Amino acid sequence: MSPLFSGPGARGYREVMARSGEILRRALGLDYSSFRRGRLAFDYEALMASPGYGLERAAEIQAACHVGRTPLLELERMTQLVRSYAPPGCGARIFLKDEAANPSGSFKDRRAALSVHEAKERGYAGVIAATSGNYGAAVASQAAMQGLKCIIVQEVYDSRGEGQPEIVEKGRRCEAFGAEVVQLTVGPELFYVLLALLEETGYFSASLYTPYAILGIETLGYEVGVEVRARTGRDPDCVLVTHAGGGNVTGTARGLRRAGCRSTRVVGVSVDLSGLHMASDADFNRKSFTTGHTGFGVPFATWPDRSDVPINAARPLRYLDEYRVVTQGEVFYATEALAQLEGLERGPAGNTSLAAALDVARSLPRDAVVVVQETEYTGAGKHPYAQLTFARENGVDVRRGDPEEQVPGRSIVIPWEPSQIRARPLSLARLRASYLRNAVQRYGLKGVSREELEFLAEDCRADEGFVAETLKGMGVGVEG
Amino acid sequence: MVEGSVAPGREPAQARPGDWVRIHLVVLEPGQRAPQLPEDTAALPLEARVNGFLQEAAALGQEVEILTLSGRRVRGRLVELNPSPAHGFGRVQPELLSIGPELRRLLEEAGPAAGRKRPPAGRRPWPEVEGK
Repeated sequence: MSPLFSGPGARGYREVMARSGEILRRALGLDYSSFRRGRLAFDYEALMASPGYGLERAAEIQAACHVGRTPLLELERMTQLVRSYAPPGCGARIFLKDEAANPSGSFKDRRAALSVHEAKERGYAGVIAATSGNYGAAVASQAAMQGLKCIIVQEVYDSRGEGQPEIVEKGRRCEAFGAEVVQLTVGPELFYVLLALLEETGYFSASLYTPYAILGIETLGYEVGVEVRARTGRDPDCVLVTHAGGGNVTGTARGLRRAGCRSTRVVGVSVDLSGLHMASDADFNRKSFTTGHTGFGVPFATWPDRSDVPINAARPLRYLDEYRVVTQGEVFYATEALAQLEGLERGPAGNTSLAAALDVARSLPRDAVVVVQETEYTGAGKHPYAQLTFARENGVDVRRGDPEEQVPGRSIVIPWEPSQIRARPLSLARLRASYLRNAVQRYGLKGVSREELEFLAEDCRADEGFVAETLKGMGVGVEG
Repeated sequence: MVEGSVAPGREPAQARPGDWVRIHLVVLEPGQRAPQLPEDTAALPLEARVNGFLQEAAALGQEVEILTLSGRRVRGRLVELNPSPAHGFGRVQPELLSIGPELRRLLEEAGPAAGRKRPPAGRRPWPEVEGK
């Protein structure tokens, strides 16, 4: 048994993983089996209704924790900039939801506020989350505010003991809010450590992927819809959402629907880190973005149920109208532009969708509205200077040039001018096919029933013909 | 990361009960780790670093027990006294600093009639040095 955990029971990797079902049932306080409908289908809306309250109550809880109702800022000089290289008559108005104004500095406070509230209501003494991102600081901040104990488990160091500066900073912030921070080296066993700590402490699992954690973001989508309509007299034409685990896309899209924004396009945006292996010790410190990248965005879109809950409430394929990628260099450029033209020092990771806005807005008419729905705090470790210094120290070539020339892990190419920025579309049809392949492999499907076909179509938002055809290509027929 | 640093005015490598310290421990040996790891990671142990209040007098490198901020007792090798953030803002990046003046020039050149046809201007890095 590792000295990291105390108390009775064997806490080796295999023993703990074998008990994951019962550990999570107790730590989440939710019996996920009640939502299952057969071997693969489940009732998604029943799961999402399980908190027992809706948007209005969620907003009340958040307001009591100083979360939400963040400023919506019109970026007039960024818009003017886009119009300088847009075709005549084009260059949509760009708005930014300044989520850095939340207590711990990101939209993650919205998710944490509800998770910690739930833990407290149910009588848990503390909360635990496994996250290397802003969510850790958010949970720690909310636990401090609501009077619960808190443990955050992070993946921080490579085998040399070199910590990614952005994650080191988030660890510092968690500790500043009074949380115990368990800092691990590279590897997916973050989940095992989470389970063992949940078992030892009896704390609540403040997972990013529970219905509470998604409902928490619905208030953000709702605010965007209502505020844009009040300010401009129209619904947002396009909301750009930085996409990693899928919660931001799912919650924002659901909130926009609640605000009645039927025609708004929800566009997920990730930093392109293709070619880097997320569980590789050698690759770990060759990236300058620790979240909002394709290393999470693609696998979580194509198989959400790889998370730390039995059924993931974040299901981005159900909500994405488009998925686009930008480069690390383009996000650093957009971060600098935001500081130098708008006087707002934010990010950088939260500016992933801002970089995309500089391309997306140019092809839309001038009266159209594009919304970048988050910012995050900047600071030591999280600043572009810190990230680029670290990149150079890890052998990455940093230069100005054509962003198309960048190779993730080898080079970061900062554009010469904003018109070079491209929000490159990834095919949703391919992601849907990949989702179906994962379902076939995960469940060992030889054939599916009519009901299962309907569920798969709903879960990846495809028509049943596409699903049947794709499954047929994998040797899986539809029965009955 | 700096390991083994000590508080000023203190005998090196001696820590007292109640000191804020960092311990290091191996959570999983290479053979005990998750399946399907990439080769490089599979050959390494899963390590943890945890901060807390030292429970006994000890020298750096010794096995000790700490009390964490959440109130847990954890054992590991004492590696740092007063573990302090070593991250900062890094070095200035001139590649980024020149972007501001370049963008302001773009906005000035575009003027109120932004959106009209104009030759590409951004590829002239700022500042434009005479004779370069």
